[in-house]
This record gives sequence, structure tokens and C-alpha cells, in this order.
Amino acid sequence: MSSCDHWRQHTGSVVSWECESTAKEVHTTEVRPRGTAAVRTLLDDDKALQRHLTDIRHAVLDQLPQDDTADPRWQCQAQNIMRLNEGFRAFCERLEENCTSLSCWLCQEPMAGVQGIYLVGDARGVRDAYIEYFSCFTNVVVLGGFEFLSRKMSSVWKKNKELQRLVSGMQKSENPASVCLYQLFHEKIQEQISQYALVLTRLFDDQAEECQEVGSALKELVGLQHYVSQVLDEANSTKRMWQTVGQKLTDLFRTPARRLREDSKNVPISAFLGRSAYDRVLLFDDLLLLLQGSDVRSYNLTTLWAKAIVEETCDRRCIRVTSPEDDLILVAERAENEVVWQWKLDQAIRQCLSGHRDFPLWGKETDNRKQSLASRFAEYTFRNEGRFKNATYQGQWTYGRLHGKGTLSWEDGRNYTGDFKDHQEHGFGVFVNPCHGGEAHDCYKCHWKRGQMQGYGICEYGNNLTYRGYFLDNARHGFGVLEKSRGEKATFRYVGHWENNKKSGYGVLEDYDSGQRYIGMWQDDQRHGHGVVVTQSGLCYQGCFVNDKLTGVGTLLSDDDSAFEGEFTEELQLRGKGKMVLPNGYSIEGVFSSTFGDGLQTTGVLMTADSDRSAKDVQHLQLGIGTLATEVRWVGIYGPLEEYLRSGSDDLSEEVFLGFHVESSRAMKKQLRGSPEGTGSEEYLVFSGDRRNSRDVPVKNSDFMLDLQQVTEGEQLTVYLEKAFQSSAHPLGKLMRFLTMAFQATYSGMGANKHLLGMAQEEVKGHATKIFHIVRSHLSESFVTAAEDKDTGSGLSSYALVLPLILPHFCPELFMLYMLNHERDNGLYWQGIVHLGLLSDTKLLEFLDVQKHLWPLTDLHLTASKRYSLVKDQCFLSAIKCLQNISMTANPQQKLTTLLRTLEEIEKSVAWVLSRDYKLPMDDLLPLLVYVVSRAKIQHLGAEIHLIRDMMDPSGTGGLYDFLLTALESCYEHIQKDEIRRGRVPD
Amino acid sequence: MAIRELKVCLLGDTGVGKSSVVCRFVQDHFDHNISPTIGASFLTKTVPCGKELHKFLIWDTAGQERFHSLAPMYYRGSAAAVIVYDITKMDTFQTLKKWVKELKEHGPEDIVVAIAGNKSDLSDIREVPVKEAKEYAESISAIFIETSARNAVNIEELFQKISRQIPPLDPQEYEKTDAFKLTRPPPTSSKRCC
Repeated sequence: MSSCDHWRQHTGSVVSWECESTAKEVHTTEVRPRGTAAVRTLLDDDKALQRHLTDIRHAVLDQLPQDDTADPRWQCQAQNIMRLNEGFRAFCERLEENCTSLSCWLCQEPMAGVQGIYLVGDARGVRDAYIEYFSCFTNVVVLGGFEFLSRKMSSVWKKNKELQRLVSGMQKSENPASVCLYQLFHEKIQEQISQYALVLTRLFDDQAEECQEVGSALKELVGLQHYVSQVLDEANSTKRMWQTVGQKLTDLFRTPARRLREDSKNVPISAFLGRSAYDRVLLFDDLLLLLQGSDVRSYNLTTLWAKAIVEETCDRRCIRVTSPEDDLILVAERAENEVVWQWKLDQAIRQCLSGHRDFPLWGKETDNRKQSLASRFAEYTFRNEGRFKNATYQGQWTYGRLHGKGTLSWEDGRNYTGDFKDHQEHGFGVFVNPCHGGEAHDCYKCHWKRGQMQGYGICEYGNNLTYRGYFLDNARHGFGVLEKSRGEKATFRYVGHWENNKKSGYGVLEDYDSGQRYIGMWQDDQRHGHGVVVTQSGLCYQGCFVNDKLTGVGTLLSDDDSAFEGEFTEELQLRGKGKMVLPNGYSIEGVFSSTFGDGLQTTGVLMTADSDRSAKDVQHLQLGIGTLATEVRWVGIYGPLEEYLRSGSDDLSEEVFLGFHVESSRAMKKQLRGSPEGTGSEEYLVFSGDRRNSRDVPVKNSDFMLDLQQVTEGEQLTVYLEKAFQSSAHPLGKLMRFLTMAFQATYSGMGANKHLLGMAQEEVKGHATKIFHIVRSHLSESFVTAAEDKDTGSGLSSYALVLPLILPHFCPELFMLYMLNHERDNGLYWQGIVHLGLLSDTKLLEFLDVQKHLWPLTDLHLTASKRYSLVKDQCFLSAIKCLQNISMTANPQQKLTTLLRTLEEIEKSVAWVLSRDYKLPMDDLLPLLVYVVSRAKIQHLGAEIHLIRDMMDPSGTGGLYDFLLTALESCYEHIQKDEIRRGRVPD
Repeated sequence: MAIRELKVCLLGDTGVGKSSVVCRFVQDHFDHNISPTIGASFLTKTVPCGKELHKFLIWDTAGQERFHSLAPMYYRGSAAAVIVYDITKMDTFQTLKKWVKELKEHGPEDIVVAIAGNKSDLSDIREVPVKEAKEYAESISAIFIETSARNAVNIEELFQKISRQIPPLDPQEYEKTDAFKLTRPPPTSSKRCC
């Protein structure tokens, strides 16, 4: 502004400066005479415009009134008029800059090129400046700003001579002041575009080599010409339209930027919404308005879909307009009107979505954007009654339906963020539900199906409980874990089955307050059916529960190996008939009663016979056998897997089963690449990546089934399964994780009770059988046939194939149970080991009656006395080392192989001693084996042996491995004998 | 042809030639199903018997007195027990009687007991008369045969006799499962107390 004023005040100096620049041009004209001539014309034109605009500014804009808060109409107009003012000044400044740059160009060295002319080099900038200015200008037009201004300022302007001169100079004076103002503010500017076009045409004619740039600039200008006239037409028609409709509607919907795109007055069409008809339809660039009398309906174009359909009833073409809550039908009398509306609707919706107008206004092809019109991102607040009432949805839509990803927020604070399908929550989503008066909230991260929670999910409740498991129809259903979370002191943890939000079926409840764990059947959140209770103190019992009450005859076992069979209460008060076996093996059969503080009273018969046997029976008595069948125990874990396998290779079901969102996890993994694994809480969404990278393990179900189909060798199958069980991304790995978790929940901690061994090993075998059947059903026919051929095949069985692979997952707990169950005999064995450990090799060999010719001492040139005293841990070293490896693996078959190697090592050592092959008969072998076992000093040999015995393939009974294990077991038994533990050591 | 696995337990004092008898039996004929063995302690051999093939899984035991108490682990689930004594040593025959008694009391039901008087090649220094042994065998309805592992006398016959004594499979079951395992222990084995 200041520079303009400056220029006005020193016209003289500017003129002289012009002369100067003209003088400089003289020597450049020889090089590019015609280009220069055109540019000079341009400069003159620009300067003329500049002068004109400056006049306008002085006459009008500088006279604008200050804020007039008293006038409400000024309030709504002022903003736009001020913006026009600013736009006008910006335009002037730009014009001045352009003049300056042109002058410079004219002074430049010969080869500056046409690029230096702003009109060519920055045609887009010129265009944008015009678009910018005309948007300010038309906004004022739409609101009737010039009419307002002319009335408001009439008194001021009547005295304004300059304005009078300007107006009279360009227009027929009979026009009202408002029209004059309107013309003043755009006519010259609009005309300037034609001037520019003229200049460019001349340049285009002159330039041979750079005509491309000039051409495109010219194109830009021609477009601009169209655009400006369109914008003006639009603004004027919008203004006229507002004048025809009522004031109320105008107040409601007239905004400066809103333009009318089509009016049913011009192109007749009527709208139907259900039974109501609307005779006036107005299409704006962001709204669709329906009018009928005083009834007005407005629809935002961002959530509007228009589609040409043929109405079946009358076989007439019409347009279906879909909004999230309404379905409109637009019907035109004439087909061509219908086509116009359809086209305009598409255009308007598309431009509304893209957020900017086309340039020039109309006429872009929409075919390639049809898809984006059908599916789009938009925000909408529901108003009608229903589930979504007053909820705001922000996300992806398809034809008026929530479809894709989005966020739905209700007024009351409920919020769902996730996948939608066909107007319902479907896929993966997070639902937050405030509770406790808004202080806390329930957060569901889970899978949805047709608007309801279904499949795997995690729910963090407001009361600090967390549920991880399966849902059905919004309720906990199937397998799931409910526990206290977030660092608070845990009070309980339930791992088991649910039905309609309640504990039902098999489940394990750990009550941390009472130090008890219930393992058994549930119904309606109550213990109901057979169950086993283990306590922190080691005491345990089994019985039958009815509605949470222990009833009938049960078995009670205390940690000192006394047992009671009969009726008793949960407070462990005995009552009624029963049999009690004392730790020393004595038993009492009779009637018992006990009350607090009163001790135990009984009338019965005391039996001392067969005492040893009954005491041992109690020691090894197993609970839960026969009452809690393995088949029913964890059906809820297998159920989803089976369903998922049945459903085929469906991505969604894979997500639901695997319990994570495949797509998002993949995306996040990409982001997290290189960064450490996701932390525990994130695990649901981002599974640890390292195992997925192993090439052989597929991630997808389809691969899983396909890969099993393609297995041709037993070895290949074993490797595949082993990896699958370890991978958290594999269905079998996922299954294994759940099974392991359930197993730990049952048998770790206070569940590590020797009386649960039977249940535990039964459970592991049950899992092996079940998994085997699942795997087998996905193997190819030819492979199964070949493997099960009894002449050539190696056989297929759960023991040979699955059990060794899953055993490592259960081993820590299971082995602990074996250790506890064999604590006593292992103690005796260890005494024997310690005792024998005191002996030197030769003494031990002698003590164990190993025949002298088998002693591997020939290479030790020692005196007899030295042999007795010195040599220790030297003989059969290879066999001893080999046997020690038995604890290195959890695989029973590998343990047995280790045992076989041990015997081979013994044979080798003997062959070396005797310098010939010698087939050891048992008379010789057993003492040697006792020797090796006593030197190997395997700590929990009893547990090892029984674990192998229970987990080995029963089809091998009587065979080589059975024999080997029996031999080892006989050594174990032998070492427990008194004569070994306390036997006199030979001197 | 169906293969039936038969667990056979070998009992008897040290030095009576238990393993010699078995080694002779196993090595004399070519075995179609070569199976791994543990020295002379665990051996297998398959012989035809009627419509079936009998695969003998022969478990040796340690004869020393001190290991006597471990024997039940070895003979549990056995279809047959071969008790060997030395005809030249009377005390081995006495030991045999002890084994018989124990088997009757603690051994599997229906176990086929075979008594083998070994070292028949040394009959000139015989201590156990044939008649006495035979009568004893009859009294306990056991198979009796005198063998010579050194000269391979009656070895084959011993096992043939056992084969014949093994009760044939239930015909129905025979059709159902051709790989029926007679030696399968009762399912309670995991809970046994030793």
C-alpha cells in the first residue's frame, strides 16, 4: 500500500525512470524486437490497470466505515467486505510486483528468455491470484454485499468526486450504485485477462523455440477466462436464488462460500422421501436441500450417494440418493433433466469430497473416480432413533453404509474404533464403554461379527478385571481367562469355559485369598459337578459339587499321606460314614464327626493288616481320574481351531482365531521393523516377529492346510510340526499357547500336587491324540497310506508323531508332578547314589559283583592298593556321560535313544577290555548298568523313568525300548535297596 | 500273515546257560525281521506257527540272587517264561522251583511256563534226574525239555512247544486287529507300586 502511494505521489520521477528503462531497451531490441514489443504492451496494460485499481481503492476502499457494532447487518457483511478489501490490496501488490519484474526483464541481458516474463513463467501464479480474488469478490456478491454497501455509504459517496468520475467514466450512469460498485470491482480486472491473452498470442507468434511454455500459459489463461465468467454467473444465480426463497431459509443456509449448482426451477425435478414429496430441490456445492412448503431437509454432500436406477413399479429412470439415514428418489419428468441432475450431483459430490473446485468449473470426467464416490471417508452424526442415535461416525462409507474403518462415538462416551461392514461392527475393533459414572471404562479389543462381539478378544473392565478369551453375541463364551489386572493385588484368576458371560463347563479357579484352587466343572458361575480342590498347604480333595456346595462322598488327602474317604464339608469337617487311612498304613472304617475345637470323634474298626500297601496306595492316589474326562476338559480351546479349519482359508476367520488383527499387525510390524519386539500388552496386535521369519512356517491357514497336504516324508512332517508348535503366528502354535496356559493354570503353583499327576499326564496324552487327529485329517491320502502301511511305513500315531513334539511345552509342570509323586523313592535312590559315590571305581565294581574280567582297568598300570584307593570316575566314562544326557531332552523317544547309546557304550568298553566282541548276557550287563547309573548320578531318575514310561508309545511294549527302560528302572530300584544304601563297604 | 509279538522272560541261576540257549535259538536261523538287540540280553526271533507268525521278544534276566527281587519288572506282561536249570547242578533246579512258585503267585495269569534242563550234553555228570524234573513239570503243567545249547539240541523244539501252548487269538479279534499285542500290559501300569 505504501509503495502504491509513493508511486502516486512521485509520478514525475516514475516517468523519468520509465525513460531510463526505455533507453536501456534500445540495444536489446535488436536481439528480440517482437518479444520486447509484446512485453512492453503488457507492461503498459498492467500499469494502466494498476492506476485504475489505485483510483478505486482511494475512492471506495479507503472510505469504508470502521466497525459498526450497532448494525447487525454490518456484522454479517463486514467480514466478507474486509476480506474483499484485503484480496483487492493483495491483488494490487501482486500487480505491482509483476510490473517491476517486467521492467527488470526488459533491462536484462539479451538471452533472458520468455520464461522470465511472469505471464509465461508463472502462469499458474497469475491464475491463482485471479481465483483468489474472484472468490473474495463473489462471496460479497452472493451475500448482496454491494447493495448493502451502496446503501450504507450513499451519503459518503455522493460527495466523493473521484468515485463519481470513476463511475461516469466507465458506465452508463443510470445504473444504481450497487451495480456500479459491482462493475468497478471486477470488470477491468476481468478484461485484463483478455489483454493478457492478446499479449501471449503475440508472444506465441514470435517465439519459435519456446512456444510450448507460451502455449500452456495461454491455455491456462483461456481456462481462467471461462472460470471467472462461470464463477460470476454462479454467484449471481446464487444471489438471485436467495432473493426468491424465504428469509428464514436464507438465514439458515446462506453462507458466503456456498454456491448454487442446480435448481429444480431451472431443471425441473422432484424428490420423494418415503411418502413425502418435495417440489423444490436445490443443489449447492456442499448441500442438497429439499423444500416443500415450510418443510426443509438438508443433506451434506460428503455423506450423499447418487445412483441412477430404474424404478421397477413404473419402469422409469430415476435417481436414488442415499444418505446415512434417508433414501431419496429424484424423479424428473423428462429424461434429459434426470441426466443433468445425475451428472451435476456426481460432479458436486466429487468436488465436495476433493475439497476444491474443478478448473474450469465443470466438465471433468468422473469415470475414473466412480469408485471413490461409492466408497469414501466422511463424518456424520446420526439423528434418527436406533442404535446409532446421536453417535458420530468418522470413517469409511459405501453407499450410505458404514463400511471399512472408522470411529463411532456416542454422546454418552461409548466409542467404537475399528472395522465396519454393511453398517455394523464387523472385523476387528476396539469398543470403549464408560462405567462407574465415567470414572472408568470397559475396553473391548476384539473381533466383531454383524455388530456383535464374536471370536477372540481382550476386555479390560473398569473394575480392573481383564478377560482374554472368546466371545459370542457380546458375551463371554467358550474358553477365556478372567483375572485381576493392572498391578493390583490379584484376588482370583479363572481359566476355563464360559457360557453367556458365566463360568460354565470345565474351568480352573484360583482364589488367592483362601489359597485354594478349584479344578472342575461349573454351571451358572457356580461350582457344579465333579471337582478337585488343591490348597496352598498341600491338602487336597475331590468331590461332587451341587450349586457351589460340596455334597456326597469325596476323597480327602492331606499332605502327610493320610486319606479320608467319606462325607466332609468344605471347611474339612468330617461327618458320617467313611474310611480313614493313616500315614502308617493303619485304617479306620466307621462313623466320623468333627467340630471346631472339639477334635475328631469316631466309632469304627481299626485295621492294621496290609498296612504297607494301603499307605503306598495313598501316596500315589490320583484325583480327578475318571470323573473329569480329558475329552471335555478344554473343548473351548479346540472349538475355535476346528471352526476356523472348517471355514477354509478365510482371512477374517484367521484373525478371529489367531486373536490379532492381521492387517494392522502387518502394518505395524513394518513400522517396527528393526525395533525390539512388542511388549506384552501390545502382543495382541503385534506378535513377535522373529519366528515368523523362519521360512518354513507359514502364517496363513491356507498355507497350513496346503503344506500338510504336500508333506511326503515323516521327517519333513516332524520338522514342520515342531516349528508350527513354536510359532505364535501359526494356528497350531496358537493352540499350543492356549493349551500350555491352561495347563500351567491347573498344575503350576499350588496345583503342583502329586495327586494331580494322573490328571496331568492324561491331559497331555489327550492333547496329543486330539492334535494328531487334526493333523492327520489334513495330510494327503497318499502320505497317510504309505506311513500306515505296516510292512514298509514307520507308522503314524499320536505317540510317535505329536506327543514328543508337544511334551516340551508341558514339561516343566509335568516333570514337577512326577518329581513330587516320586519324591520318596527318589530320596532312597539318592541315598544309595551318595553312598556308592564314596567308593572308588574298583571298590564299586567289586561291590556290585561285576565279574573281574570285565573291569576296564588293564591300561592302568597300578599296584593293587593304588587301584583300590585312587581310581575314581574313570571306568565306563563314555557310557556315564552318555546316560547323563537323558535329562537334556523332553522327548521320551530321544531319552530312550540315549539309553540305547549308553548300553552300546558299555558294550564297546567291554569289547575293548576283552579285545573281542562280547554279547553281554543280563547276568553281566545288569551289574555294569547299576555301576553306570550310580556314577551318572542323575538327580530325578525316578521322575525321568516314569515320565518316559507313561509317554512312550504303547505299541512298543515288550520291545527293545521297553526292555531298556525296565533295565534302567531295575537299577533305580536296586539302588534303593537297604543293602546298597547301608551296605558295608568293602575295604 | 499276522505277526504276533510274544514277550518271553528268561529266568534261572547264573551259569545255567540262559543266554546260550537263546543265542543258539536266535542265531541258528536267519531272522527275516532284523531287529536291534542288546548284546545277549534282549533278542528277537520270528517263527511261523500255524496261520500266525510268532515274534519272540526274549528278555534275559540277571540270575544273581541279589537281583532276584527285580525279576517282577521283567516278567510282567510276559506271555511265556523259560526257566533254565543246569542238569549237572541240583541247586539250580531248586532255584527253578522258587521261580515257579513266584510266577504262580505274582506272575501274569495264563503265563506259559517252560522248564529247560540245559547242558544235556553233560549227562554223565548229571545231578538232576530226567524223571524228577519231568514229574515236577507235569505237576505244575509246564513244558519240559532237556536242551543242549552247545550241541543245539532241542532248542528249536523248546520254542515250538511254547508257540503251540500259546492260546490262539480269539477268532473275532483276530480278524479285527491283525497286529494284536498279547504283551500289552494292563492300563493301570502307570499306577503300579513296586
